[in-house]
Amino acid sequence: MTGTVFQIQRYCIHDGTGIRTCVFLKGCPLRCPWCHNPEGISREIQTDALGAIYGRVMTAQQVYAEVVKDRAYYDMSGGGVTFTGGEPLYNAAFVAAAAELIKRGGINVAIETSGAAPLSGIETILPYTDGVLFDIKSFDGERLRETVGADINVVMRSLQSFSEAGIPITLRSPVICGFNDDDEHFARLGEFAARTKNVRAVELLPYHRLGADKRRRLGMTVYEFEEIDREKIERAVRLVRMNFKNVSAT
Amino acid sequence: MNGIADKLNACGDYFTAGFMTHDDGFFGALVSYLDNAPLPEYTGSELYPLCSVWRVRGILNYHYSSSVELDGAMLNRSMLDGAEKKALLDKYGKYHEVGSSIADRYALSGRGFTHYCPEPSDFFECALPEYFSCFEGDGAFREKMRSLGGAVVGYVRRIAVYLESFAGDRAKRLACAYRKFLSGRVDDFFDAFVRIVFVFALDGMDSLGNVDLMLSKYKRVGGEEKLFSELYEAYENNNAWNLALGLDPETAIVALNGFDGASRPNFSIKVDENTPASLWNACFDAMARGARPAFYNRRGYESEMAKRGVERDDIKRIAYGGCSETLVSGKSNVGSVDAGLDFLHVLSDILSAREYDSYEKLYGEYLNEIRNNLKELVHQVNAEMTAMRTRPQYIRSLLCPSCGASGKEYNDGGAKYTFSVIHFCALGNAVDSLYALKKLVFEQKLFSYGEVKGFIDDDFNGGEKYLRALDKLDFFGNDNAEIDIIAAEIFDTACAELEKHKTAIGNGEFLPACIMFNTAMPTGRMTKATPDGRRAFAPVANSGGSVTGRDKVSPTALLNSVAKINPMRAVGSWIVNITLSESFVKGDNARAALKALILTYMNNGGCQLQINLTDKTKLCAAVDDDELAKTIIVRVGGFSERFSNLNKETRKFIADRTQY
Repeated sequence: MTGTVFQIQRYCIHDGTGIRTCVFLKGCPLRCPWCHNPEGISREIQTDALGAIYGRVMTAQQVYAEVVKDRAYYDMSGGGVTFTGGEPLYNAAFVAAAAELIKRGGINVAIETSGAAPLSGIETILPYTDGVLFDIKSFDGERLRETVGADINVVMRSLQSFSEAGIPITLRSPVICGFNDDDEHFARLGEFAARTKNVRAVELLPYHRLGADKRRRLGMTVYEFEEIDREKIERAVRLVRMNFKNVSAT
Repeated sequence: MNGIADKLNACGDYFTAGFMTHDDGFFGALVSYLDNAPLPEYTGSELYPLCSVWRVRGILNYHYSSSVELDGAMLNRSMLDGAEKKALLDKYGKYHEVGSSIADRYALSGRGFTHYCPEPSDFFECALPEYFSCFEGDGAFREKMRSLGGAVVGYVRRIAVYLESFAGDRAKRLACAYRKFLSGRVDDFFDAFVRIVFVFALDGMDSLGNVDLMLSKYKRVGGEEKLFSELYEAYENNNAWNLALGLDPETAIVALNGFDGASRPNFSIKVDENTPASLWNACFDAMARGARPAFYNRRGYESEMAKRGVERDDIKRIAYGGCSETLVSGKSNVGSVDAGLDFLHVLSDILSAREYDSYEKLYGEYLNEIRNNLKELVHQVNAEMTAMRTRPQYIRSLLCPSCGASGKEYNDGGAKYTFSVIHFCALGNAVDSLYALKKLVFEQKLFSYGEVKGFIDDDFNGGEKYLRALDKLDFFGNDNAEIDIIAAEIFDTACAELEKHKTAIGNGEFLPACIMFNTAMPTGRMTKATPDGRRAFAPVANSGGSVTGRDKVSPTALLNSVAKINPMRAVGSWIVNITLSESFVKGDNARAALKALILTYMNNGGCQLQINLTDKTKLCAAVDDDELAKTIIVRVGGFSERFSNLNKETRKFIADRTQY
């Protein structure tokens, strides 16, 4: 079983509990214009204008051999491995194969997902998942479909699967100027978090420009968004906190 | 001689006057100074004195390592006539007739510098005059120590009288503490702190050991952070060095909370899995405010030093002098970086000497040359140590009670423990060079040995293809097992050789270390271009980790690589630099991760870890911006320094480090 990985990043501390290694997979069904990992959108191995290559085919065993190097750090910190991308559920079979090896090795596994994938994919990886970081980009179905290409019903069904399976969930919301940076979104996010089983935390991720250069080098359209100021983020946190206490912003 | 002494006394140079009066010049100098030199000015601070006792400068001056130093400019400006100057120089020359037998290739961080941590708590349980009863007994040395002790008592009496001349609560409090110092034991936290500061000042303000443990049994009443702040200011103003914390977390927290922007001390925080969260947070808070503590593997040091003969009761006195040189406070004579071995220079020599038709032959000869070089180095260090017996260090003898017990002077083996720290440097460069040759010449056969030798001799002019091939290789510090094993074998070979030898004085141990201080650049200037792509005379690795900028994966990968060499065996301290962005101490999760990073490295055999938190953009800007540079403190090769105190070349070298 192989998959196309574009990065394995060690000592990640914002992608789940403790010290983690993030495995970034190529392939995503969505087209979020603010995506800061645009090299993860296409399933194909890509070469950018400067000759940098994004992606290599790896077996599950190879992924395991790489991530196990930091086992001692995971053990000390309560960390582990996070599959991200791209969209890991778009590569469910490969993620499941690698995650199974990792779990057998006694290492915690988390999935970072938008939920935009068939339920069958979720079912494949559920047995090997200790935690999920779930993107809630918007509650407005029409806006979600038009802007990123996601079906809100699919997203919510995916979330429900994790919730009913008892997997601890961190809801994450990118904060994008002109897309979801309104009071209604954050208030609703807080309510939603409060009534959804197994949601442990909410994280707000303000937009940053790190993806713009990569998009240029890959020949992709570059979308400019305004940076979100600190005051707005603090307001957003307060709005979420009205209904759900454990909220933070990076 | 009396004429000279009179002239010198008349212009306030009591130290030199005493030197010229007594047969034992250094002894005479010390007594004369203590009896006569003006006291440092009291300016209303909580503590006193906030400078070395020996700060009044003359033609000859006290130095805590070399005992006596000559200021040639002052001699030239002095009112002594030609014959008198000659007499002075003759006497000084005889006293200082030590020279140095350390060859340039081994004198990587200087020659024969000795750092020390006195143990002020030795002065807590008795009045000052009673302390010197440890020098009761026969012999000229002990008699001198009692006499010198008497001069110290007299000096302290003068301090008490001086402080009593000031109105104001702080002066009165200090005067009271000094009177108590003369008459009895410590009663409270402040008394103890006053004695710590005095002993520190008497030693010349070098380093202090486990200050938190010293103060732990005394009740705090609030406001003690201010005392630490003043102490740190004294550290910075007097170019003092190290201070160890961690053995008493509550007091250590107060000490860290006292950090207020001073560039010193080099905080040495001993940690293990029992270190409470509150102390970790205090460390990270101090780091967020600009402090640059280094973390030390408490259990590792205790275990390794026990193997080297430190007795159980003395284990709690393990501390660090200077940058990071391991010692036992109040009881050890440690040659702080007595000499060093440049692994890269050894490799460069053998590469120049002949051609090799196999990697195995090259590697085998390299390891052999390491052994041979260390044998010679030890021989030279021991010769130097033997010669040092003729150059006593009476103040350190006075502050080392074992000298009283043994009846021997400090440099004559009087201390209970003798160690010599031997510095290993450029391991990263040597490993990368060997790996490059192994891969590109002997395995892939992309280049012949002769070709690479030509590139090196020509400083890589015409060697661009080789440099491009190097770009495709990995380097030490990226958790690559094939490379890390080379590092482990070199390290093991060097440590094993060093461990076979004993010091000529005190029959002590040689302690391997990697303490670059600020020597990565001057060390590099001794070696031409090397197969790892390093240009001729360019700096070498600035710590026991990877070469600057070659660690590209993650902090965990770097620490995994270093851990594989078993760095705790280099108990003289194997320093490793890591540069992280400031976000790594912001927030509970980030701090928990950083704590886990440090502890895991220690559990894996790590020795010491010094973390620079920077905003890389700001650091790069500060290379040329002196005002901005004043606001940044960095940890260099073992010590902390204000960025503005470093030259531009060093600033750039530090700014180029990989930042995670």
